[in-house]
Amino acid sequence: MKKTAILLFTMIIIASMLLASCAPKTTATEAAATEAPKTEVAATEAAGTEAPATTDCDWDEQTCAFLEGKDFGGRTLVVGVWGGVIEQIYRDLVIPEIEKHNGKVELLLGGTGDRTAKIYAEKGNPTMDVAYLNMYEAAKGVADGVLEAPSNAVPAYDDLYPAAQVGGYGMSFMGLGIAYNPTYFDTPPDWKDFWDPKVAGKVATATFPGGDSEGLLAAAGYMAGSDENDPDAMFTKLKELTPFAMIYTSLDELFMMMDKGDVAIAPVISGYAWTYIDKGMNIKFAWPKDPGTIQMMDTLTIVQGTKNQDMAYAWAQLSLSPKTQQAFAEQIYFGPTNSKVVLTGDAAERCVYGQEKVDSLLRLSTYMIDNRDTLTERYNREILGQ
Amino acid sequence: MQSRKKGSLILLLLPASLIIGVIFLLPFIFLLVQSFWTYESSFVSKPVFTLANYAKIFQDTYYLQVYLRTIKLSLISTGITLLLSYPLARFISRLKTGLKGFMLTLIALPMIGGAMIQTMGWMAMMMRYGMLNGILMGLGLAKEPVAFLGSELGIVIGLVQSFIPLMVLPLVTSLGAIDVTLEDAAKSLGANSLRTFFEVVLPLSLPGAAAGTILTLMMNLTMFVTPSILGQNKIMVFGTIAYQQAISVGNWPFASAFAIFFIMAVFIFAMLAMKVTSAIQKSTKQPKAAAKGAQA
Amino acid sequence: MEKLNRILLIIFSILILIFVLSPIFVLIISSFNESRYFEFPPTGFTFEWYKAFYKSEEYQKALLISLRVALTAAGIGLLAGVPAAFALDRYKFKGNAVMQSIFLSPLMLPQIIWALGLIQFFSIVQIGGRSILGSFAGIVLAHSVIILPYVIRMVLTSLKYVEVDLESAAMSLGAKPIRTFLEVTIPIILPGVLVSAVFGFMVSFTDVVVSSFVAGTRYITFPVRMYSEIRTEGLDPLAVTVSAFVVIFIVIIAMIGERTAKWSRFF
Repeated sequence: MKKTAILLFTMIIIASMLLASCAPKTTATEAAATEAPKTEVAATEAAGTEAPATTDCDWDEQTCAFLEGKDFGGRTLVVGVWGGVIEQIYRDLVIPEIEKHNGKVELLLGGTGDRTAKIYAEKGNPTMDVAYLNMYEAAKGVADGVLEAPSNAVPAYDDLYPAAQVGGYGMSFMGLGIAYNPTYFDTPPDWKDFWDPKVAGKVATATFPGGDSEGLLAAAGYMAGSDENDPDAMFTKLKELTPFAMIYTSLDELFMMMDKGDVAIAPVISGYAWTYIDKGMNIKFAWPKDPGTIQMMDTLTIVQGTKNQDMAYAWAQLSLSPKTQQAFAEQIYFGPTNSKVVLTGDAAERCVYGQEKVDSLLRLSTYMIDNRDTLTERYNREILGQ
Repeated sequence: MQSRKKGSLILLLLPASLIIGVIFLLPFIFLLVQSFWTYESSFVSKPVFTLANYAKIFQDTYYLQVYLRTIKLSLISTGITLLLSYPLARFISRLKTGLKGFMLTLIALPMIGGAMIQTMGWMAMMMRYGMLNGILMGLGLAKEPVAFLGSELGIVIGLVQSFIPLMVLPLVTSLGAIDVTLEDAAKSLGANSLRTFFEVVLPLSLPGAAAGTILTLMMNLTMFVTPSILGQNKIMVFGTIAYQQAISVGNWPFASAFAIFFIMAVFIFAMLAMKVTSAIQKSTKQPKAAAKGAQA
Repeated sequence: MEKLNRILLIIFSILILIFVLSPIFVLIISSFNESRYFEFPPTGFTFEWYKAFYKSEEYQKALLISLRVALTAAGIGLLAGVPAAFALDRYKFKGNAVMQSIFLSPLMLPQIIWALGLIQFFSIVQIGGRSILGSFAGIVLAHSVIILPYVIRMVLTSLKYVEVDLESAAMSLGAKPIRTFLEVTIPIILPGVLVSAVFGFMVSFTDVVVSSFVAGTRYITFPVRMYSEIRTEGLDPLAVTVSAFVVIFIVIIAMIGERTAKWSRFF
């Protein structure tokens, strides 16, 4: 009895091991085999019934023309991007279009830190084709030769605002502003209000290094009467805010604490706060004026040496097209970088939208990214106090 | 015959040696080499010899503090783990075979489940409005929510829970090996149970305790997932600094030097621990003899 | 007095057991909780998150990748580990002890440090013009390293149960060494080998540290997916549910392992 049990156990193990090495592959090829004819059928059908293939293209003229006749031969494009709502928009809009052209897309979700590390580690032999980074990381990657410099090989490039043409392909304009709990402030706070005694011990910031926390550090420099190139001034001033009520890694946590009043104020990138505000949380968002809302930009970059350059260009064209940009602006209030996009109502109000608003943002120098190592060290030591 | 035996011996050992040698030991050499390279900017370094990375470890007290904090937290967690594991191991070692196996399987679950699953559970519990605070405040033990996340307390709780299995398993083995008649003999000679424990059981179980302690301590010293998530990047220890330097900052040469220095320290520490263990093992022979005498 | 001691010991042991198992309980409870913010006490009972998991290709894919990686790595671990353990147990040769401690060293040396070196090593090793970093082969090889010591240790333990006399008796009756090995030794050590395979599988299936470094982009295993999710998006009910699902799976495997092979004797 016991022996048969053991024997059964053995057989299960061995069978599953055999399966492991063969089964997924066979199912993958099977899937490919069953899928491929389908798309062919669809293609011939389309060609048969409606002569020009472009008629089923519901994108703008430029994008349709660029994609016309493209066939990616079943290859897979790997895109490194943030998860959540951002991921969802790409799944809804961009990925189906790539699939129409016989391509597959794999999304690699995570933060920009992990992506940057991978791009450099795999230099010359990338497994990721497209990566979304922040503007400073993107510019450095282009300078270091691990990312392609942007060009009008992607037609939509010419329609981008000039500010979105540097480093990589600017995807969304955003500003680092202030999220706050209105019980603490009657009027929208500015950067100086982080140092207001009534919110002492109720200030939150994000993990360092990273855009949000680097922005607050820069703001501290300005509050000390200097700027973002003066580490002594920045750290002395920021130290006054310690210990922080929380160092957030996720917005869910931050806004839950803010909603309950455990956190009064935190630097947050515009766009992210609105979703939570619309859920009815006790949170507001302010655009600081002195010295200004800090410019942030999600940047689409194409990895140097990608074996799927044509697909990467198609991905970029689709992402930068007015349709996708409009969706980002209307669904999650990410400011469009394509100058052809026209916004109205809430979206126009809540987004960094239009030349004037873009110009009004405070653009930081590259000091932060150039000195990430020494700044991180000082941050660990002086701000975390550890 | 002799050479055939040798041949088959080499053949049997070859696959494992290749895997360990190439995939496990070789990367350490890479690390060593890189630790002497020159850092230029984030993720860019060049193969020019420098000692600057090592110098930084000593010049900057911050990194020594990180080492000290890592060692402090590890020692505290290991100590608590040992204290909590002893009674549990004793309890389990006295159970009947079937029940004993069942209990051991239960205890081993965290070890099998892996760090990520434990940490997620703790995170859900330790959140400001999570279960732990709910219970504490419900029982009136705390007036305000306790900030478990981002504190050393939270990390220690997580570590102790994760590594109790590593401690309990060897303890059960060595406690189970103690002859029950030995204890009965001690008791029949008038020793109360406390004295029996300290004079007979404890000395005999020391080898198991030592094995468990060393293993737990090693795991604690190189903790990464627990401090990274339960410490919320506020409490920096060796593992989180190494990750930050390599992945977030992109200073690979320094991350490598930092790691090499740490492994040296751990190595020296392990050697000392081995010495102590073998000394303990030698000394335990005496009480055994004494107890045998009592039995006779 | 004696009785009081015993009762105290039992109570204390139960408390510790609850403590050790609490994260697992909480995960399972949370996966049925209605609220998405882990507030306590739970606000209501729901299967919503399991339904979402059933629909989530992303998580299912990560689980499948983990499964593939773990099964292959456990296979390699067995193929390399069983012969090595046999050699270590049966051949008295110079350096036996040293060999043994080298094979077991991945248990003791810090994984995170090794992983740092492994990225650099993998990034220059190429198979067919592609770097092995981030490839299936890369992650499987890395996992076989962490599995190997467990296999060797457990098989060594089970070899101790085999009486060498039995083998020599078989051989004196004219059986060739190979036949002796297949018909006498293997059946006796089989439970230990199986348990080590299952254990190795679990170690690989739940590893975060090594995988998060060498995962690359194509083979994101399930724990790595969880780790990056928690670090960037926070604790998400769906992630908790997937973990709870895995926990339930692990508990079932553990119970089967204990009932059929008495696997706890190999720990």
